Amino acid sequence: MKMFWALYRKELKGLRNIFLTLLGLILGIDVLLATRINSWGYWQAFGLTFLPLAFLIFWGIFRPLSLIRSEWKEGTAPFLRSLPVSGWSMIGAKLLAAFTEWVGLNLAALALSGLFYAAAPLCGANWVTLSDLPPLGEVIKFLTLSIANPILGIFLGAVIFQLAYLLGRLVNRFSGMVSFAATVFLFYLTSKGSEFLARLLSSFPGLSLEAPRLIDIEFVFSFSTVMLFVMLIEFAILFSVTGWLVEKKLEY
Amino acid sequence: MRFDIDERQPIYRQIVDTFVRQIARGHWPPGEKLPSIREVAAAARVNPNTVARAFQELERTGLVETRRGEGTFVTTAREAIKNCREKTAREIWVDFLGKIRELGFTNEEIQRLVAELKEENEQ
Amino acid sequence: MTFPAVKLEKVVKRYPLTKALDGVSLTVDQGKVVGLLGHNGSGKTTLMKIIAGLKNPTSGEVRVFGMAPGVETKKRVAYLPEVNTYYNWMTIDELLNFVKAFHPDLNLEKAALLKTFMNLKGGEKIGSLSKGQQARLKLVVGLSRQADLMLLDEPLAGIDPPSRARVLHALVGEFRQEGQTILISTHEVKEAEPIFDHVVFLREGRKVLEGEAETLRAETGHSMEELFGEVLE
Repeated sequence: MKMFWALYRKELKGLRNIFLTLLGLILGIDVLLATRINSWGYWQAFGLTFLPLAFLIFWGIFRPLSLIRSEWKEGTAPFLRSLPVSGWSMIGAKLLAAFTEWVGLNLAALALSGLFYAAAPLCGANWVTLSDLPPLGEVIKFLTLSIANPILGIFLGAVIFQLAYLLGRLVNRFSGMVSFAATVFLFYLTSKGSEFLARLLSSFPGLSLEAPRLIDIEFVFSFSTVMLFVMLIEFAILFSVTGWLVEKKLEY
Repeated sequence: MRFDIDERQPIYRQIVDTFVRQIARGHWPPGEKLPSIREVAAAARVNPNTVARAFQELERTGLVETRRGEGTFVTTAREAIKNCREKTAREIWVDFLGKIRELGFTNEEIQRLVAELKEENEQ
Repeated sequence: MTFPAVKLEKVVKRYPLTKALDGVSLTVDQGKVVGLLGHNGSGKTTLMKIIAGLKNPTSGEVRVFGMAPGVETKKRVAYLPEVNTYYNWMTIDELLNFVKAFHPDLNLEKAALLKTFMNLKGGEKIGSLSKGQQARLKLVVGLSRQADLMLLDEPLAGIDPPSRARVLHALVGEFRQEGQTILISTHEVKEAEPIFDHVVFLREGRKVLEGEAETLRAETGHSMEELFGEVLE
């Protein structure tokens, strides 16, 4: 475990510069929006402070790929591989470090949005009153699923990109083409797998995929929960395969 | 310490020969501690394993003895050193005789040559 | 029971168009300094990488201290490739601390001595080092560890000729760990030959000659450098 954390710290240090750049960018966007409150209106400007979050989803998926690709680009893969750690640790440390960066950037963006919101009365807007919000239980359920689902989606997407890239490294030539084809194929495979797994899971009591005539909140929760498990299973499978590839098949 | 190593010949042999000559000459007097394997290896720029082998060989001839934890010492048995000195001189002499006889020198000619060279040397 | 440091049995490494290794069998006994001699492309690097666990043989068997290459063997092996493979953004000291997390046998005091010996400063970024400095840094990292087996791929590449003898001697002499096995691949035989116990000549992926250096000298009256020319030209 000590070695895993050493790898993790190494990844964090390695991504520090780009992390700081992105942090600056998010801050820049929010400062720009703050100067636009008068011309665009407070609520429009406030809404736009959440824009970076959408972009960060893609960043979270792409980042572990860039971390692994840089090992080959910079020629450091043989050194990494000569360390007494398993392929799974190598991949896992990268996923976790990229995820840490993603969480950090999201928290920064949300904190800035929070500041924006806190300043609402100063800009002539009013805070939303508590009575306007749905019941607390529903809010927590909604937030849990709406956070857990994107996170798992990010991990799943990230591991697909990593695996596809590494499959390309299995051949000496046309690595790029193989990686591209593998990406397309893996996404196809995952979506087919999702369909199959979702059907399998919906047979469990309490989890239904039968959409009622009127889509209600219960159905949304049920659907999200099924998807959560589906993604968890798929991630576990793809992660195992990727680690195995690094461990047994790849050459450095 | 200086070693001129010829890489065409076994290196350990050359280290043995160097020490045998130096001990015979009295460069390392009886009972004197020899430099360590590492020091010799550093001076000769060779592998310590090779020097260790050379020291084993020297020990076999009885010229040196290794005391556990202390190092390698020249033997205090003067007889052994004397014998070795003579044995080495003989080897050089036999080698010399073999070469000079190949040139067709007779025993009288060799004696005359040695006397002449001795005189030249003394002048 | 003690195993040989390395044991290869009919190792073949085939690529789509070439054969890098063509049935190499080899035993490296513990505590020996072994020279892997051959021209560029003779399969030295591939052989080293297979022993280090970075490449898989197409067929044949590889054992390092009796085990198949993997996490356990990597704990005991220091593999130093020819080119710089360290992270350019790290400083020398950061690298040493990073390696220490994986190899508790790394001795930071020894590393400090080696840095001085190799004329390197701990605070320097690896990316800003010259080729020669990077070559020396590799040796600092490798020699700071108490690895049972050290694999050195062309350690003299990038080291300026006047300091080669000094560096080589540091390798097998003052900085070597007791009982350490060292496998050195090189095509610069002249400078390296006094440090070999055993030599293996490789040509086009095949072993063409192997033996104790001293025995080969006694039997042939040739230096390893001369044999290199004779066997491999």
